[in-house]
Amino acid sequence: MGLVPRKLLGDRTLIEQIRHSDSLTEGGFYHGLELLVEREHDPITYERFYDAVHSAVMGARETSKNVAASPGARELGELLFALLTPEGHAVAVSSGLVGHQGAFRIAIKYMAENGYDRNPGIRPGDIFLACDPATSGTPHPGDVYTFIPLFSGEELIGWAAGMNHTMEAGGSVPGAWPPWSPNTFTDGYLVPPTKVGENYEDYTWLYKQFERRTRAPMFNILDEKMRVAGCKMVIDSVTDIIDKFGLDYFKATSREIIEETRRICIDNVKMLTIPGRTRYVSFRTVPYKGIVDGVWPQSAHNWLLHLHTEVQINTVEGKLHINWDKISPANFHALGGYQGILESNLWLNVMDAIGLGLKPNSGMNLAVTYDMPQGALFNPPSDKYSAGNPWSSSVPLFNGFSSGLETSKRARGFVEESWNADLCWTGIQGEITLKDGFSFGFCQMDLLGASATPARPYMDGEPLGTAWWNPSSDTGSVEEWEYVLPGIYYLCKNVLPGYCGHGKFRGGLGMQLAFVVSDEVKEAIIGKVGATTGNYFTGQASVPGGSYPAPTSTLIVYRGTNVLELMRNGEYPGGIEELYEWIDQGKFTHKGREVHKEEVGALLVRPGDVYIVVGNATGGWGDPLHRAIERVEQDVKENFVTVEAAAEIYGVPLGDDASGSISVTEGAVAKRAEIRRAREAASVPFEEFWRTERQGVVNGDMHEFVADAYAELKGFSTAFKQDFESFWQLDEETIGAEHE
Amino acid sequence: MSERDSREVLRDLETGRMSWDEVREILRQKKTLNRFSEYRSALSETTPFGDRVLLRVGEYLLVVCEPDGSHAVRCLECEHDFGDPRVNWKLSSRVRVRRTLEEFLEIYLYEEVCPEPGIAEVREYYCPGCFTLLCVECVPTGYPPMFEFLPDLASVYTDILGDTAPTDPEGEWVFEDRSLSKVEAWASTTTTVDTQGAGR
Ligand SMILES: [Zn+2]
Repeated sequence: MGLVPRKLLGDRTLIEQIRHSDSLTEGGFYHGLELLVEREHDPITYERFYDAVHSAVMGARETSKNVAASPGARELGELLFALLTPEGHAVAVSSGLVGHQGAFRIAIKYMAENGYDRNPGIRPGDIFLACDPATSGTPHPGDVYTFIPLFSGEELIGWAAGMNHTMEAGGSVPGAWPPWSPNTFTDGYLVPPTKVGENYEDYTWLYKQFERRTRAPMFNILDEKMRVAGCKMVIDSVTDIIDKFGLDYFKATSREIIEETRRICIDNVKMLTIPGRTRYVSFRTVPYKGIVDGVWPQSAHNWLLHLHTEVQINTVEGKLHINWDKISPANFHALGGYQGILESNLWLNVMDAIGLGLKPNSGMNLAVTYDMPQGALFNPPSDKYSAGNPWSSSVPLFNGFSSGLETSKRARGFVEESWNADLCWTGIQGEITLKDGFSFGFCQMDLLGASATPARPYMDGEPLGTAWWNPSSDTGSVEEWEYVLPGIYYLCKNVLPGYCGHGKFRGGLGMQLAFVVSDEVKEAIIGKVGATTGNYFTGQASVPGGSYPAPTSTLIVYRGTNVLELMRNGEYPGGIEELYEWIDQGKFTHKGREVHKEEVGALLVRPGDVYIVVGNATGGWGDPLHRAIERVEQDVKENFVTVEAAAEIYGVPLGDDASGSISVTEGAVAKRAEIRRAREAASVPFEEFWRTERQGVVNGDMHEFVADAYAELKGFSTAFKQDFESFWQLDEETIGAEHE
Repeated sequence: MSERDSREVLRDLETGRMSWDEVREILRQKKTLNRFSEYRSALSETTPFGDRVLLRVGEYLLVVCEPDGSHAVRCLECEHDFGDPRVNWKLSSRVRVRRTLEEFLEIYLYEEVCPEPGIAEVREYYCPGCFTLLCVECVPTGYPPMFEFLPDLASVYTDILGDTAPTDPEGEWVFEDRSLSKVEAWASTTTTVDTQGAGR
């Protein structure tokens, strides 16, 4: 007989407690709570209690980030604190990177399953750190979770959790989302849940590990101190709250708060949606052939990812079920992931789509069910797969979930609540080595903290308006970024005219940022990631508003420019347009230009090199020919849309394009009629399209990228194979016969 | 919202002429179960179909109850009939396919952010009656069209409206994707017919 495990929860070990709670939840109500006893008995005390625990996590966030933190946490607010149940469900969360609360319980479960309550032991003041996506729920290598247990005497009664997106993860390429990473071993410094300190103090070895295994040790150590400080604040505040409300009240009410939220989600599905089935899709490309396969032969492939999401909406029971039976399989690239990225995304999208009038917590994860097939992109066959850059693929995947709900909510009449749900982000990361030998890794997150908002059925999207995964996000100030990233100067930061999906209401314009590598730098490495990186496609394949989806993002590098010389002479471009004027005039000289629509892991840049990152546009709503004429005029006046686009896309000739003898309105009426006639001439009945497109499919007349993707999908997903072949009316015989 | 007010509010909201302050007021208001009937009243006043409007499936497409009791997707600009809501309406539309960089540049303006010619194609689906743009798809060549929204009309009638379930000529209305029926008909004929793109 072995050792008797320590019973942390009265008569149960941690794993026994998790199984007990899960079995209670199987009946449909979280933790078996058919009745919300405390809420019904005394709603005022109940709300005061929630307010107290919510204030505890909010206070921890606002204070700790100013005690110690990297610029991602301090400037952009890329952090989160939460109070968890002993099983890891979040009761209350701060603002910030809210989605992660859905993933915390994965790390807690891992510790429970592996008997951490016996060895290394879970005691008051112990610090646990976790940043390995396969075991910890952390979506990608740069996300780091810290947990401190909450005790009442000998009994484990909860956890304080803190997390943030750190600046550098020590992977194959510098940054926190390595896009060139074929497997878990190249993802970076990944730590399965581990005890890293006691008595609220980290062990020295943890900092030594950050120093040796990551490229931004100073920031990573500061961030860990921030997470520990915040968790300690949560422990202290909640201990006071328990003194005030009583232990039994704390235990019962924390769980009621989660069940209350779950119920509100169910009620919102019943009230806000139309029952039925929605399907949306997006595509991402992972071109590794000739880049990554030099060292990793299993990655000698160019993948096209099929991010197809079906939502089944049942308004009788208030149930949402996500069916991912047509998604691409996992493979040797960085755009897959594990359960944590799904739970984080799920939480964020439930919040946006049906999260009205509730207390944000893990009850939202419990309200939706999903099937991610074994072997699929986010349920890989083993724990050796990379989760280097999964936000790039999972955001568009979940945009498909929200797009379905937005479509359904609009059908139900909730016009004000619906939008395009084509949410996006772009990030630059890398490593800078200064001439004095000092080197550091970084994430440059201006574009991460501020994306354009999508178009709605009644208004345009706005530039820089949101970071929907972080309700209190910010783009950060240029001065701050230049201070923490010595060696990189900003040349300009502008919205780009016409860079959006056009429509009756257009998408929010994306941004364009230009940087120059300074003389202080010996050399630097930059990479680009993001979820507007539709790469070779638009952000989403189609959007609820039916108009043009968002254009993709891109990275442009000018090699060996004379910009530093111009700057020394006191000349500085006033904006991106002036920079392009300089290029046209030959004032700005360069030795080469590269364009990267795809995600790139490591481009070497040197002093004088200029890089321009363009991203974060959203798609349009409705036919551009239905846009109010005065809105088109206003857009041109503000340089949001060019005169040419006003005429050719919106059918409103202005300026030199307008005919002098007629009014703008008359000109628009005529031009719009002309465009409609052009649409007729350029289009065919669907049946004709079906015949020609089918012939291309039968003949195999398509790019290798696409042909390989169809072959891979047909081999992995019987649902895809069936849909594809029945739609094109294909079988082995017809293909053979028509080939001859 | 009282019923009369709400109809006006919803109508004004959809014209896009409300100020952001007014929209925010609406966003903050408590949502209620009678919204669906309020919205249907608003649609019945602003579209050509009156009380026959059931629900909206797109910016320009509505599911309408036909005089014979069947349901059809119709264009609210020109009333064009796209047929059974269980068949993807795209199969009854007109399509323009953009494949070249030149064609992509007309809508995405900058070469560096355009879809990749040869890999992606951009399909514009138009109403065959009035050539309003109904949907845009950017997909790989050979990708079947997406059927974004298949509403369960039986559940809408019985569970939301508290009404009796709709029927079909063959009996009970069944919630299923019937798009293939159309494709199978095309496969059984060799020449192009139906050049008007009419739905039924
Ligand atoms: Zn029409």
